[in-house]
Amino acid sequence: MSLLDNIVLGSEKVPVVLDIGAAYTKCGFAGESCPRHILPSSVVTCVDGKEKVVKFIDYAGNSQELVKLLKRFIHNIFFKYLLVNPKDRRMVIVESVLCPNTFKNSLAKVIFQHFEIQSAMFAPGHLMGLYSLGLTTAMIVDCGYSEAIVLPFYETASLFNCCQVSNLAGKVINSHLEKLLLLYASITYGNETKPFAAERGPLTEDILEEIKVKACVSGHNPNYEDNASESTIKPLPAKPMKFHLGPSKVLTIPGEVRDKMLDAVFKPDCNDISLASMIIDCLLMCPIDIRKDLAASICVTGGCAAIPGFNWRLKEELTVLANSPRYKDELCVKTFKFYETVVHPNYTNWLGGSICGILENLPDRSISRETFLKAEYVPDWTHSRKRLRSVAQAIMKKVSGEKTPSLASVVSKIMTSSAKAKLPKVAINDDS
Amino acid sequence: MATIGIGPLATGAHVLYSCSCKELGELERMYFCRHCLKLRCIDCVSNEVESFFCPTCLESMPSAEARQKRNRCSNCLECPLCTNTLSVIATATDEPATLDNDKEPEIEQKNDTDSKENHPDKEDSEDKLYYLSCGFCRWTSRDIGLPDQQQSSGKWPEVEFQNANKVNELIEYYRGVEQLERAEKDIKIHKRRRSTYMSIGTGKISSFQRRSMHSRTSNASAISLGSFQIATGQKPKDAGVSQSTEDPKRTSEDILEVGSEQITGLMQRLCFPSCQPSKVKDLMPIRKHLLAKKSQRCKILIGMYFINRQYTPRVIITQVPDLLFNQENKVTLTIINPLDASVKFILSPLTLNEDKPVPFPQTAEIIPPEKELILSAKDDSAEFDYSETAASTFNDDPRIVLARRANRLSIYCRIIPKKAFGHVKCSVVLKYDGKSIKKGDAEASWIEHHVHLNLGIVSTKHKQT
Ligand SMILES: [Zn+2]
Ligand SMILES: [Zn+2]
Ligand SMILES: [Zn+2]
Ligand SMILES: [Zn+2]
Repeated sequence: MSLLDNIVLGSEKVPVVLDIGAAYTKCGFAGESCPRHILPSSVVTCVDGKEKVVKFIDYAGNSQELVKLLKRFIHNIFFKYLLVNPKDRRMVIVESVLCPNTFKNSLAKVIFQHFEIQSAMFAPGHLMGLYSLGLTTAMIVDCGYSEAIVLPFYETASLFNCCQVSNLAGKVINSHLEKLLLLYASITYGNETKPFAAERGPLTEDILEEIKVKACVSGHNPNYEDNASESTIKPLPAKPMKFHLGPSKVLTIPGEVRDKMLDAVFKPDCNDISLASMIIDCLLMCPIDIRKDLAASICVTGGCAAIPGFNWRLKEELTVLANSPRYKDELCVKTFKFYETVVHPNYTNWLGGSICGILENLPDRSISRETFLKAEYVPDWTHSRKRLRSVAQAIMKKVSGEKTPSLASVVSKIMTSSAKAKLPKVAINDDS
Repeated sequence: MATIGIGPLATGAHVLYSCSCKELGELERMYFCRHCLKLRCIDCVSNEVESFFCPTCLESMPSAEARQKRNRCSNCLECPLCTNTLSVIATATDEPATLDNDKEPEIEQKNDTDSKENHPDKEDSEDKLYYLSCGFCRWTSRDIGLPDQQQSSGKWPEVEFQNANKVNELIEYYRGVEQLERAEKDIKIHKRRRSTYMSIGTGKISSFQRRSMHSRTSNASAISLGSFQIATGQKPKDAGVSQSTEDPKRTSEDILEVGSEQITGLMQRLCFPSCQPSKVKDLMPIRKHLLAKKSQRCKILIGMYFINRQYTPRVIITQVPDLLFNQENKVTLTIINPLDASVKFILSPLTLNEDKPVPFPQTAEIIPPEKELILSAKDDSAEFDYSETAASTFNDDPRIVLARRANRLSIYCRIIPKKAFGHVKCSVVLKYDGKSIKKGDAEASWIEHHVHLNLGIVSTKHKQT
């Protein structure tokens, strides 16, 4: 086998590129245009004789348990999906810019100690998103399952201080969908039709996800009723959709619910922030003369961007918000332009990692096994990330006593205020 | 005599074995090292991909070919709706294409139009044509308008990735950027570059940004993002593979109109990572993914010996009565010998060591028959031998032994639950002679494994007695 390897690929092994998302993991080989597999970020374990699906996202804090789960998961990645040996192989790990250090270090421990890989490059997801577009200036809006993170890049520099974080992502859409179903959906058994609320069968996250994937659209113009004068685009009605929940049990979702699903991120009930306002707040924190460039290069990545018409709705929301009294004078931006991702939006970050993985400077950008085994932790690429996390967590704890603690508003407010406070202190470090 | 069941019990009773690293696992997940004479869990074993094979046709594939075919079998195809194996159906050419009309009303309309397009009058009606069909969900290759093939091993089309070119352009672009960077480093410009760093996280706006506010000609900028350094001499150029638009697309009307059966689910999409089709009609048959045959080596012993699973007698729980709290309950365990030699074994209670707590908290006391017993050798031909003569030759004590058949032996153990609620858990030491494993060793070396039994939940009936 090793002889054949050498003939086919030379002695160098192709690096493995791995992007472990909150909901799905993308895995494949560097230099390829798409991941080989996209699979749930979970493992099946045996608890008291019963099989149970365990998601990593639920174990973010428990590093001991996480190491165990990750060992199984990475084992499957190599021996079930990619069918290559991990030993002495290079890896590119695409991680969220807010990936908790416990997760990162647990993963490093597993791949270096247990699987004995040669080196790993820990690549920030948003930067990889930028790579996948071939751009140097862009506003990357990563809207995945558990978080939406807006991070602008200007001429390849990440303006981390302007970063906006919220939970306005897939999971929030799912729980909003559940509420909508209770209000508007109906259920049919044979000839009998009842409101769904009366039936209230258990809707698991998986079923909600499936309904979202199939039914969620954005054809209707959300601002049509409110601002009839400003917007002239008429709503496009979606047809009701039927789902078989079991034998002779049919769930009917009215067309308007299909459209309203996205209100979860664009018009949240108990929030004064939305995905659109995050983008505008982010722009406001950027220097005034680069705002126009950033607003003209917005790119939404992550699973949510795959929802048909997502960018269209975002643009409508942004236009209305930018012209609202709240932002009109301050923002100085009139037009918003959107980049479509080159590949399916749920693996743009993986693609950036795939590109980085075949560049010759990969070893320089990676941490080697020896280095990790000596240090036993992966150096963080920014201290502010840690600070951001801890601030967000502290506030969450404070608020959690109150009703509906919205991570979105809290984090966003903290960041806005702290960043605004710091903006005047401009430091010049021109070294000549 | 009673029969010996081997199926799992409905009560959730199960058996775990200890690895020497204190990890517990089912015997199926454990490996036995012939050199350490110990069980190893998956953590204590290093795996290596040895060869590739298709789980459906069991054909093996050389590694170069497997790599070239992206680890997929060239013969076997899976249904894109339910991932069941597709079968090839032969038809005469004049046969109408829509066989399943009565069963699949949604697909029916499509089929009518498709079949007219794809089945114009065929000239050579002698030949047979082939199409793919799923025996489980009744999907066929005709549903998506794939023309029938002339050969049974037809070249079925595969999903094509539209944007692969763009990705290659991107890769070329970044290779170019990298070369530029290296050239710049090599030349070493005389006048020190006005390199400026943006410090992330300090809340400072760097000179880079300041300068860009006044003049857009930042002649040199090196921005560090931890280990990331993108340094370019000129203002960085874009790769030009993507264009921005002021008018992003609205949901297309065909998505708004169709029913849920015509839209793919998430798992169906993810089987085609490159394009993730959202419409059922765009799904293609999936080539079966190969499996790897792995070799396992023991990580503990330097020298890395290959290890195997077939050396440990398996303990299973076959009969559990209502487990009464604080009373003796008679439980049946069956021990199966995987070796082709007879083996002496003995079960004894696990003595608890205060310093090393058992990773399996004990909630019951177990009284095994602390008597040396003999397990017959595994003999595949004896599997169907239902005579029970063996029992008499071994002179089994009926108070201990319930049944014996071939390499299986069922014995009684007494269990005393010590907790009035929850799972009844206890551990035993399984000791067996390793003569047949470690040949050449004159002394009968005993091999010891810790076996943990979870017998299910304690009965609530004790209150009445
Ligand atoms: Zn060993
Ligand atoms: Zn172990
Ligand atoms: Zn096959
Ligand atoms: Zn099928």
